[in-house]
Amino acid sequence: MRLSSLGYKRWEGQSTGIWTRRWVITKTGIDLCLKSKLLKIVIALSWCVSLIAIPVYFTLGQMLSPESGLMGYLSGVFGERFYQAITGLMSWLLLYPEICVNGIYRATFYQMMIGHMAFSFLAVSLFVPKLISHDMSSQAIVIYNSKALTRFDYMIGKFGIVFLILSFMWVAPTIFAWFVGNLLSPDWSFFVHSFDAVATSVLVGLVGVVALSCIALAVSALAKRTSTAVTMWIFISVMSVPISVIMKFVAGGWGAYLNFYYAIYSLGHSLLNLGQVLLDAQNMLPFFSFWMPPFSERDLDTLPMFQRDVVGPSVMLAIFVSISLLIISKKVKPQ
Amino acid sequence: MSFVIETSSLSKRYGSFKALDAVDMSIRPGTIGLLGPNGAGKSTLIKCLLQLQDKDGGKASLLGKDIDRHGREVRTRIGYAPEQDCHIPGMLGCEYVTYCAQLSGLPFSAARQRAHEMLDFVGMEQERYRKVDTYSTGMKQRVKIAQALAHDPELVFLDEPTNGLDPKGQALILDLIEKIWRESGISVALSSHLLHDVDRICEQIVIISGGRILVQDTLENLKSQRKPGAEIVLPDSLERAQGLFARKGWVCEVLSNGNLKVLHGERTLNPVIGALAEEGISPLEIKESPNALNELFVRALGIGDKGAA
Repeated sequence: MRLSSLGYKRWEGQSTGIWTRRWVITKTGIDLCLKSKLLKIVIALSWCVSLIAIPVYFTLGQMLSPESGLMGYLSGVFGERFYQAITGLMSWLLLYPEICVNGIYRATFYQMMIGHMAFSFLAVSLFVPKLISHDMSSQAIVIYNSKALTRFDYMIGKFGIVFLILSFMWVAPTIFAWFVGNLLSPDWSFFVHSFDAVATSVLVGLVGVVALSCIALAVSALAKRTSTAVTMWIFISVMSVPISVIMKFVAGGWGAYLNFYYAIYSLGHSLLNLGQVLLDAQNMLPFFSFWMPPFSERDLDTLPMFQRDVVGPSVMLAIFVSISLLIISKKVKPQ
Repeated sequence: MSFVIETSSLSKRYGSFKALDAVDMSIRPGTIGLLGPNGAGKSTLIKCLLQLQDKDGGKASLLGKDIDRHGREVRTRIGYAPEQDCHIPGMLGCEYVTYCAQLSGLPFSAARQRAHEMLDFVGMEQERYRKVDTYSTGMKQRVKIAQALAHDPELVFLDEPTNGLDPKGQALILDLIEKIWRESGISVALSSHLLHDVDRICEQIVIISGGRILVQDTLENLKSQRKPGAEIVLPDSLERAQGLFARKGWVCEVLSNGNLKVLHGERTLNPVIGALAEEGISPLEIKESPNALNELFVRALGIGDKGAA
């Protein structure tokens, strides 16, 4: 142990602003989380969910364009009659792009939402202790609070970690798939017709990410040990399923939203509104009844596809977020 | 700036326990020793000043600014090395100090450069590229000091920086703390329960016990307030010595340990030694009476013990 003979040097420079300091917390947290290979794999898998949709959009776009390379190839393989049948069918679709293009995009975004939710659960399980639990157990929380930061700044910085990671694996792939899918389509009007679908999907994604971020932070603030944080997160996520089922019978439909994943799913289901897409298709596309018999009044009342509730899950998610923020603000302070 | 730390009726309670009891103090720039036994309220005082804990009453200013109104702004100019370990798991030493500097408002490039300069200053060499989790106690203390200084504060609080260190490590840390004020002009508030640490490097002393300030003065003043007395250890000749002191007009008494305590009223021990030599009495030892700092610290320990009981 040799004490350096170097002297102390003064620093004269301009200090950074508060948002830069919050960003430092976020960036450093993301870097620490991404040291986990498993998390990188989960993120990659989540992207795969969206990347799979791109060939679907590409094929759709090619089939709608008579001069497209794909149609030329198919007519060469299956003959002129196939070509005429497809172009005839697709010309009907082009008469109603707001139903067909929008409907196909909504259906794929709905599938993506389910995949992204599952991978988000896995991702949070992997990094939830690194959010606040580690700082509490190592007393690093004292260092944060002794710097030019408030508890609120710390919370914003930590929120940024979860929000950005989850957005990157949920919202970003959705936008990417939509953009690249449309870029490959021969008709750029698809951008316009599918915009409503992607906007809705992004909205659902953002609501889901914000809710999951707050809940994950609250869980991380409650647990001081790594294993406790992971166990608590899995327990809360998994145990909320039977609880919500029981509460659904006891307290009605709202009870089911006690499972925050179900609440996010229900919100997405209601906003993407696939039932309405089918009804519109049935009412406006003459050939649609060849494929699917018309829905009865009873179907509209009973089939889950047609059940919509935006208020219930929204209110319940708002309650989850409020409780989480309350827990975080109470817990995030030096002991 | 006249005072770096100023408090008025600063109070803090934990349930019914008064951790800080209407603390009033005004401290000038320099090296400040917060001295007191364990549980006296030193750490609580620092935590309240840094707003790590909410105070229950009173006012406080750091570097001339009210902490309630300018808390975050003030903390950009303050450094703090807490008593306990406070590293971020998984970070290298240099990453940790850089990160702390960034949190205090330094841009990344400046923070990285300052981090390395401060790690040089505290004597951390290649260890800086190891994870902080793997550091020894001494290294952790030094990296804590480096992070407290990395953003070039005007006042730095060091809470028990020599805790858990061997004598060599303690000496290194104290040398370092002394250099901070002497070479850079950064005021240092050193909290310790060790009189030796504070006595060695601090110019101003605040003795705390039971959440109250017992004394606040300069070390020089406290040391000069010496009681004009001595304790003499004699192998024999006790009566002769008593007679001698009676003739000199000095009050003396025999202590329970058999030693003789004499209040001679002189500035030094020389007259006592001279008188004993003239009388042909050879004492085994002559102990100077403790100075005010020692006495006040012993008193603080007593109050602390009563509080603990």
